[in-house]
Amino acid sequence: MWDALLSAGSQTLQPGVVWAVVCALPVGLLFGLLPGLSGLTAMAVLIPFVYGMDGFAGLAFLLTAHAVVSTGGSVTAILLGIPGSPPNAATVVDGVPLRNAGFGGTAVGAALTASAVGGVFGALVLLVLLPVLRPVILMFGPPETFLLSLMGLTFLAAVGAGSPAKGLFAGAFGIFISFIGYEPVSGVPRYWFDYDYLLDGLRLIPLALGLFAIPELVALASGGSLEQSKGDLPGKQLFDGCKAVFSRMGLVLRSSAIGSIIGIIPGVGGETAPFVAYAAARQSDKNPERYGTGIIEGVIAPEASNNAKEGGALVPTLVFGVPGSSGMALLLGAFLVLGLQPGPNFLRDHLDIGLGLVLILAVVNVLAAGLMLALTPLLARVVNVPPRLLVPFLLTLALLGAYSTENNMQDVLFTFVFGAVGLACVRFGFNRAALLLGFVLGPAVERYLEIALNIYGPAFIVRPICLILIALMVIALAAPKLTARLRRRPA
Amino acid sequence: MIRADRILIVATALLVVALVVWGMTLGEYPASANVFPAIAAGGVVVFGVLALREPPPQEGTPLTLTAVLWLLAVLPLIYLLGFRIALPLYGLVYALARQTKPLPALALAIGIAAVVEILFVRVLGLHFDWGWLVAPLVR
Repeated sequence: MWDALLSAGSQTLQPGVVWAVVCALPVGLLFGLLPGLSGLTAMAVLIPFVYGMDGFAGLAFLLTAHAVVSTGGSVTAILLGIPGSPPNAATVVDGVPLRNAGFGGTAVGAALTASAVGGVFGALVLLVLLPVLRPVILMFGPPETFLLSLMGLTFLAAVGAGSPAKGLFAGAFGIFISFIGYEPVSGVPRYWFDYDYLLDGLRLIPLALGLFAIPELVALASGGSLEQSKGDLPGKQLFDGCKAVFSRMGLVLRSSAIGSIIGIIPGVGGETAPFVAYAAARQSDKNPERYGTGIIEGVIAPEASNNAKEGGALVPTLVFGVPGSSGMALLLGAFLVLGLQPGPNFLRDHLDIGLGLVLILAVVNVLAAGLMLALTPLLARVVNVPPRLLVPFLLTLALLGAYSTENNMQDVLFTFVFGAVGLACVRFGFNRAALLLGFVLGPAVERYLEIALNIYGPAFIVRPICLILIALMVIALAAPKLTARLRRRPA
Repeated sequence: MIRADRILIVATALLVVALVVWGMTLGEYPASANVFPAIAAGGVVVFGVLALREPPPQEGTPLTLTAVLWLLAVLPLIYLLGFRIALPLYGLVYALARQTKPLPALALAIGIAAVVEILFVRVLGLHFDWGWLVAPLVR
């Protein structure tokens, strides 16, 4: 193991690898900063460049670009209120109220630091678990994945501020619209009304952009403006944000662990991790009602889990050759292009490459956060741009981001349709984050329940891990009420 | 007067229930394809009823119809001219209409055109169709 680690270290310091990381880092951050462009797009664009590269350098190149996208996206989510990539949507919930209160710099500083710590945590999890995790992952079949997804849904009421009933209503609506298109097991198309676009279901990126970007742009065009920092210099605010993370290490580590676990399980969906981390942070807080009103914990929790999940997602990709997300599927393709075969024998034959990727993941997360911290005072000037210039520019990025996913004009059209839904949510106090979470988790719950029932029948719930997950779910649901009751009880 | 948020909740719940009933009857979906939409629809109805009891939402940032119409205006423009012309033109017109001086407005349009051409066409290799008005001229 130590030999492999030393070999990995020396490989990582090869000039070709360092050069690949240096080139991919700004590209990944740029894709994160631009709304609608995701880590998946970054990998798809960069894959042709790895032909002819040395195997490890090529993997480092792609992994770097993919891993830092959500770091860049957090800045857009806070400063503009538009999630740079779908997983950053949870950051908008508290990031925007913080910005509106004049603490945008603090929120960005906290988000970037939490991203770095979360990313390093995810890499450490990967490092520790890589050699021993195989039997544990094998214990996670469709029943366990179903219950994990269901667990995510129990957090619907806890995401964001406002009325829980309205949050659950929005979440249930999000689940319902996720069922449009082919049913995952029987393949029957539902609610598509002979409109071909709907056969594959509604798409995530137009939904995220419509829900978050369009209302923000309408607010700007209506005469609103992006609030500027109150008094403190951006540098001072950034530093305060960094300090806030280190004074809440328990929260950071807990959120990172949630991100890693969700990342490890293929099929749950990486977009879920930040929402679950947010909800878990809220439920464990003494004053959960503050969440959604602009508190720093609401930024730290999703961002820490966001970057930690990438380390987790690498585990099944390397150990089984089973990608945990669409981004990892592309990385798997790159492995094959570079003549490497991930799977059960990969760690036996190429442990040094596996460990090298862990090192890359840890280093690029810190580098990305450092680079963004250095650039933020410059980027923060965007809030000084008059809305009359900002609106058309941001609208361009949002619409092209939606279009670029599938080169499909319908995605642009549906961005406006979801924009109307987003406007209704903002106007009438419905929870947009809950709607998005319901949309992401609905298909996973349906798919894995059907598969579990077909394979194991209803008795699947008595499998040991299922029982543990059910117990955790009951605790998560009951804990806030029990805690509140205990607090009310006189001493 | 009936509150607008309540009208929205009731309309959404009715629409969702109607879709599920349609799927079960006229849509002739197999039973397995109806189970989850029906459960989700149940959630929409139950939580909708609970949400009806909630107090009215607080007034947030004012959103004007003019702003919505301005944003929507980009859509027909894209269909008529295509992304590559429509987006810079939209930026120019929007900025001029909001009392921006011609030079900054022109700079904005050029900036948008540069982003479209360099990032999305050259780097990302996206293919943009020309709009209905421009396509015959380009051919």
